Amino acid sequence: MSTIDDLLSRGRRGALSDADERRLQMAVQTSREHQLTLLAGEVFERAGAAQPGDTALIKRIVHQVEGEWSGTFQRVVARGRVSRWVSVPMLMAGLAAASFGGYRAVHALRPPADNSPPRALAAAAPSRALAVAAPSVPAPTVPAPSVLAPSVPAPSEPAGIASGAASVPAALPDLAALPLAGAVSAPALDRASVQTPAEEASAAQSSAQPRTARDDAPATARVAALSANAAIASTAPSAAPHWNLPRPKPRALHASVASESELAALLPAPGAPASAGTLAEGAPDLESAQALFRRANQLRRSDWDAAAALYERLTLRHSESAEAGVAEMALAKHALAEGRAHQALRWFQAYQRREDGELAAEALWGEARACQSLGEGERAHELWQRLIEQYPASAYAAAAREQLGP
Amino acid sequence: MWKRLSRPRAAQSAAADSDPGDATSDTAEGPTDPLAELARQAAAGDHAAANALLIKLTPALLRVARQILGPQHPEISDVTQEAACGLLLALPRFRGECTLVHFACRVAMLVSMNVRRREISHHRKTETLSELQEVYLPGGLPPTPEDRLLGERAAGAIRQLLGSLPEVQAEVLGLHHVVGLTMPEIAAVTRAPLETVRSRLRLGRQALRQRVLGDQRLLEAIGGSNEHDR
Repeated sequence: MSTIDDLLSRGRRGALSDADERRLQMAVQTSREHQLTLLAGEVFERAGAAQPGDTALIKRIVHQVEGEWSGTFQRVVARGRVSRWVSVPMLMAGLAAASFGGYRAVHALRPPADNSPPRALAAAAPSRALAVAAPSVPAPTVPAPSVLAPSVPAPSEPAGIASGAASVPAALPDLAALPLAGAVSAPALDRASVQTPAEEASAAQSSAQPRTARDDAPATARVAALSANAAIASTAPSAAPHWNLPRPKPRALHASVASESELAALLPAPGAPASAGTLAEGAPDLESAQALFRRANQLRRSDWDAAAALYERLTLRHSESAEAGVAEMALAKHALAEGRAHQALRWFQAYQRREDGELAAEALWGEARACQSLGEGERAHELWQRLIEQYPASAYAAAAREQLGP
Repeated sequence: MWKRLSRPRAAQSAAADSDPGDATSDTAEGPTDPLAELARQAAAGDHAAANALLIKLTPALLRVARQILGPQHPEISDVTQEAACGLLLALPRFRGECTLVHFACRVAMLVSMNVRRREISHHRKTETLSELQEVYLPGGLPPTPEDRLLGERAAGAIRQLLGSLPEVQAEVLGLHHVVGLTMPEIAAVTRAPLETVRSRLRLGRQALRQRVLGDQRLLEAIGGSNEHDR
């Protein structure tokens, strides 16, 4: 039998039988918490409801993702295929090298003929259990800490070493390096990931290493693993390393970009010839409407002034693009929020001169608000009436009706 | 007051494209997901399949982003785009244990939650005009203004919690209350045991109750009582 929680969820989809509906009704009538849950659910349903202009918005999003994605995805897949063939032999070679080094280390630690315990053996932790049991006891003569934590890669090591599963595309170091991977993978993707047998073997192998820095066994393994990883990286088809992918939210990075002058240093000057270093063949055009728009969107969270400069540049250089329209609206809304009603009015009006503007209702509403801020109540009333006539189904029209009163 | 508990069935078809519930033939029933083959092709590098998949799933991503962040949030399209990229990146890890729509919803929810958390942590005021947020008038209003107030404040409390709860609890709370998934669906999409999901939801609700108790207006709206039925 479904719980009330499940009934509430299914009720939001209209997927309840009559009996379930009666049951839910009874639960809701007797429980304030259920009432609240139901009401909140309705709010969320409305919040997620389709809005006018969604079709165009979805097309634009798909188009942008497609643009960013083209080439990249094939590269990821190809890298996965290549790495599968390269990583397995390399991993085996690394394991073999580590085993050999381990053997040499054990051999070196073997007690001499007089049965006196070797000095290093007393300090070594031969197993993970020992390492856990006495983690803070350093070897008397061992200053190197990185080898003492065999299951944790050194910070500077590529992630591939730790994972040991370069054959899985999703485990590629490049993906982990993407900001998006940081945003999504940690909770959504990595949490559910299961350690592969190769990883387990690698971890077991490394944890079995004697824990002395003097031994060259772990170092051998690390060198072998690094070589394997380097080989993987070199064989990957990343000769054209332009991941124009995501970098979706590098907010921290942009926080350091403080001024328009710094921005200008990052962006090519208008009309400047594309040098080999800045605009190699196949590199994204940083002055395209999409690029400007994306950079401005990223900047607006940390540095509005710099973002506004980019928005304005976008409206000047690519005035016919859809991105320029959205930029106009962003400028207008921000100006209005800051009380610069005259400026906001100009931007709102500029947007309305566009044909087929998806945000026309919002622009009309904004223009009315700007007029109201300027004390032009009559003009605001006219605009609200126009809003109701032209966009009767819009949420802004409903708001305009409220403004006009009964 | 509580006559209409579920959405009118006639309205379902209109929302079918973007409703996470439209693919609820759950995982236990086997591989009935119509998008599974498309996902497999996309994961294998088929660009056309990836494009077709995005067209199918972006409405669901957009919907979840709006639900988590609010429909007038200025970053809705950015978040949706980010979720779409994340979805494509995550496709190779999709094992078919849940429907692809639910998988996409989870990705969108986590991306949106990250944005919310960032905003909270930075105490950053979004640039959305307060007026435009206020004028958001949903299509079908709850029966009474009192109900609307209740629902909106409860929804606001849930949204706030998504940014402050431990992530696993916030995820379950969001998938259930915001996206509207059932417990078995959440268990499938998060690959967690059902009882674990229930436990996380229970903990999330405890925090929600504390939040409600701290919200004087909401407390007054529900009658000034701190009685809870569960």
